[in-house]
Amino acid sequence: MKTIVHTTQQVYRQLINASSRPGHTENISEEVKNYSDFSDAALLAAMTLFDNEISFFSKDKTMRKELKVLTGGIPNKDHTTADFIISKAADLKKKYFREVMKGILISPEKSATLIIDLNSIGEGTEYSLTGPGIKDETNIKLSLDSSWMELRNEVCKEFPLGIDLVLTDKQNNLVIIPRTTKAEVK
Amino acid sequence: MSQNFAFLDEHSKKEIRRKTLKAIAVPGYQVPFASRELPIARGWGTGGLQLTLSLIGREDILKVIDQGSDESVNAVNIRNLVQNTTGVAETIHTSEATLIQSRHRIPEVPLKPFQILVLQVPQPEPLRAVESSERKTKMLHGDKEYSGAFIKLFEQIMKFGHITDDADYPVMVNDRYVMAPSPIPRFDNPKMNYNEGLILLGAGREKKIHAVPPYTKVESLAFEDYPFEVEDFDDKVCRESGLSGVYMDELQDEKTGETYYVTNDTSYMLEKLNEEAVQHAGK
Repeated sequence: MKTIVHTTQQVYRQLINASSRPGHTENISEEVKNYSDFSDAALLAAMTLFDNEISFFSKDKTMRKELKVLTGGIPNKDHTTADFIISKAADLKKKYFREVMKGILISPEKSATLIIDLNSIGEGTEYSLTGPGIKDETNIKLSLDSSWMELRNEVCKEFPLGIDLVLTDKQNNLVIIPRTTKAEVK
Repeated sequence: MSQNFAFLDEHSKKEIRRKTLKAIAVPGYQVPFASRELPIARGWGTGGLQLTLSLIGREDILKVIDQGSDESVNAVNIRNLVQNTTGVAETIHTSEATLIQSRHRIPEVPLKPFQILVLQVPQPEPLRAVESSERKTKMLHGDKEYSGAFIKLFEQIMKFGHITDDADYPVMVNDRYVMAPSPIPRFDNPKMNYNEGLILLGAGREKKIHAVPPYTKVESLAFEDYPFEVEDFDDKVCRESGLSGVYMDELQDEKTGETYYVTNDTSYMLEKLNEEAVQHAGK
């Protein structure tokens, strides 16, 4: 019997693989009842990590409701204090990068994680990734405009402060770009 | 009484999982976590055990070692607990395992991509010997102020003519954080540098999780005129297997009083002995 316990465990291991190997693509094939218009991968990543101890910000009303019901996570009215921001690439705003929590020097973990649902991982702007978790260099195409990546680089330039990106797409691919990764347009 | 898969309740797992992902995002930084009660006492591998329980799934193949041995009490009991609550397969072979929990050794067989090594950490704070306040050590890490870590090594050189830290020798991770690698022998420190698997470190009593992602620079602290050196076993040969160039235990024959050496990583020794036996039989 497959329960949510096994589903989230499976997704978590994929999150571990993706975050310890930035640019490595994991395909989330677990099944989930999804009433939002976000990808299953985005919903499952959130379901794996959210509970009543965290707050999240989403502009999407359906997703907000969905996550609150499914995980008990606390919907935040304000993006600046949320532990997680969940947004579609089309709905991104500059303030989701600039004004969110990026940790403090004694506690860099008190930072926001952005879950961004893209159209495609594997198509779009090609980025070259280097840093911990990457042997030499990884190239990856993302349908994420380079202006967002520039903003992300700006926020992450003062390591260990920064934000971590969880990117998902319509085919339920998932890529994680933690703050240690240097991302440049190829 | 029925038990949740992998013992811990899902809320505890979620918390550990969130913290572990943060630890991977900031290599070498100690992320505080809640550290739940377990059926074994804190300080007996509960940090490692909680990481293992948060990670493990039905398809995993688990290896648990204690000081290089799959068969010591600590290793057996931890493996039994995990197996009884998950039903996963076990192995002693490093290359077959998907998840390895270890106390104080990194196996001789190098980690492969996507393997996870979980280390049990008694004292995660490399600056604790020079600064007892947690608030202050957090600030020192924040400022990358590591004079204290170097002074500790310097004082050992002044007193004894060489660095005396044998296990838990401090390392610099990703040129940013000084990290306690858990009491692995110095011999194992270089294995962490740009290794291919993921290393997660859990301190249950001290409530900290830290991580070394794959392909990450891990440098042992040293001085230009006193470079880092590993334990030297060059002229030693394992009495049981004839292996050399591995980490060895120094033992004494109770009858003759003679000092001899045995490979510490017992599963590695067994693999080598079996290979030899097969070759021998082939001839």
